[in-house]
Amino acid sequence: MISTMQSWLTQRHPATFGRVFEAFVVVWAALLCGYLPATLETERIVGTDPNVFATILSPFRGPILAHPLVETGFVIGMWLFGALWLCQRWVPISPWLCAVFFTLAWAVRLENMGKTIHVSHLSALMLWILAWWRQTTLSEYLNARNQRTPWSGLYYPEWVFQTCLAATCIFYGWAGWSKLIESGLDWPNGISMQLWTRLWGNPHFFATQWILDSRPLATFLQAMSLTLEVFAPLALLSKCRIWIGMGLVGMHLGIVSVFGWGFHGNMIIIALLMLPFRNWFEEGQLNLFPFLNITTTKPGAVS
Amino acid sequence: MRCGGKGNEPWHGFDARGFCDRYDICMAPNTQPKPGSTLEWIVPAVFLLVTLCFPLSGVVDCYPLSGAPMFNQAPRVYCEYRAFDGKGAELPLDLLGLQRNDNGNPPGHGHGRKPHYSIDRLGSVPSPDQIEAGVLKRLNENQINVHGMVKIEIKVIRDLDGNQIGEDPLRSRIQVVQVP
Repeated sequence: MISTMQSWLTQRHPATFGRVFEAFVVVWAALLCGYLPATLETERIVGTDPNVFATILSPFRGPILAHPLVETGFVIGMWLFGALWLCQRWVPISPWLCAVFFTLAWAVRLENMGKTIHVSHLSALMLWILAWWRQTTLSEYLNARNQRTPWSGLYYPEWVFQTCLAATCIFYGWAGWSKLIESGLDWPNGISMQLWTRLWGNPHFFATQWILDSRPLATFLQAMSLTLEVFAPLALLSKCRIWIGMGLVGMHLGIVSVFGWGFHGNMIIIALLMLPFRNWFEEGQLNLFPFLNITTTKPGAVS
Repeated sequence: MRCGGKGNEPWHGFDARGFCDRYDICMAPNTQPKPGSTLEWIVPAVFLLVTLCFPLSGVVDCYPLSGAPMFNQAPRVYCEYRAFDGKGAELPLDLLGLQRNDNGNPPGHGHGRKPHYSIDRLGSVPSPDQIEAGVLKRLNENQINVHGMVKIEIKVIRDLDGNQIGEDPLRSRIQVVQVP
């Protein structure tokens, strides 16, 4: 049993999907870091008391952590090592440092905020998993590069995909479970959805008015969100994955369109992991970069 | 050249030859992909376990780990405020402790600083005493001239007819806080 699982998890596949996913996560993380200097003056809070434990940096609170240059330095570090990672330079140092700087940049920001946001958590988890991937398959990547197949070489283990998928499922699973724990089955009452929509909804988007005008619609949307989040871990089963994936992508489309919050990256991560993009890449049905020679037909097609 | 693994010998019992034959991997022996060790997937498995179990510790948020508490409360009412001084000029709400700190995440988790004091909470309508105490507290801290009084318009937004939300005229009110 364990041997079978070991074989399955360590089985190598063409890295095409992994490399595309990696590139997206790094670019999105860089954009998320771009948000930090853009909101340096508006979102940081000064002069209030420290709050409860909030980030991995909470034990190190003090004037240094509160200095804006610290955050800016981490952002620049993330951009630098993210660029090196995208160019496949200094691997696996660049992936590790990219993940470290991204996590620290956002941890410093959250340490200096009077409210929280959750747009960067999933990206941080993905960066750490991908950095570990590049660490553990370094020699295989170098071999693939020597064979001029850096995009399609067999150095994408199954565990990378499964770990990214499971981390996403856990994150969204907790989003649903925390609603049930805090508010119970009464959470999808429709009224709260209408209140949030009135408060933060884009008044120029047609669906905003639909939600405000119809309690049944608001209740339905809330109930669907809760169901999808609570059962997000079912996406680990291949038969359920596409349905959960389509539901969560639809939910995010609604959130992004109505509220404008920055969950675009999470939505694309869900789409890449839960919709059949991996199959399309590995079977050659999707070939975004013909000039990079990343299309392979089946695992093992490298020659 | 065919894959040159030695059957069951290497890599913790992984059948390298079978693996290579199954997928018809043809490459030089020194460049064959190495199936990973147990450590390779145990580390992310532990990482996932920590991610899964962390919220059970009672700490809701410790970035990058999170219990994802966004919008886990289901408020049924909130208030909208406007405030004016004794001469009718509109006052900034954050100087009076009436600003909205709530952004959909439950307040108090996942941020390193406490927000500026505010009476406002999604899901509740503050009493006249709470408004008066809160506004006087903030005025004392901010030392601004309000010309003897603060007039506060409080709109209560809640369910109206079972289908829509809006201002409840019966619960909305105007409150005047005299400032000594």
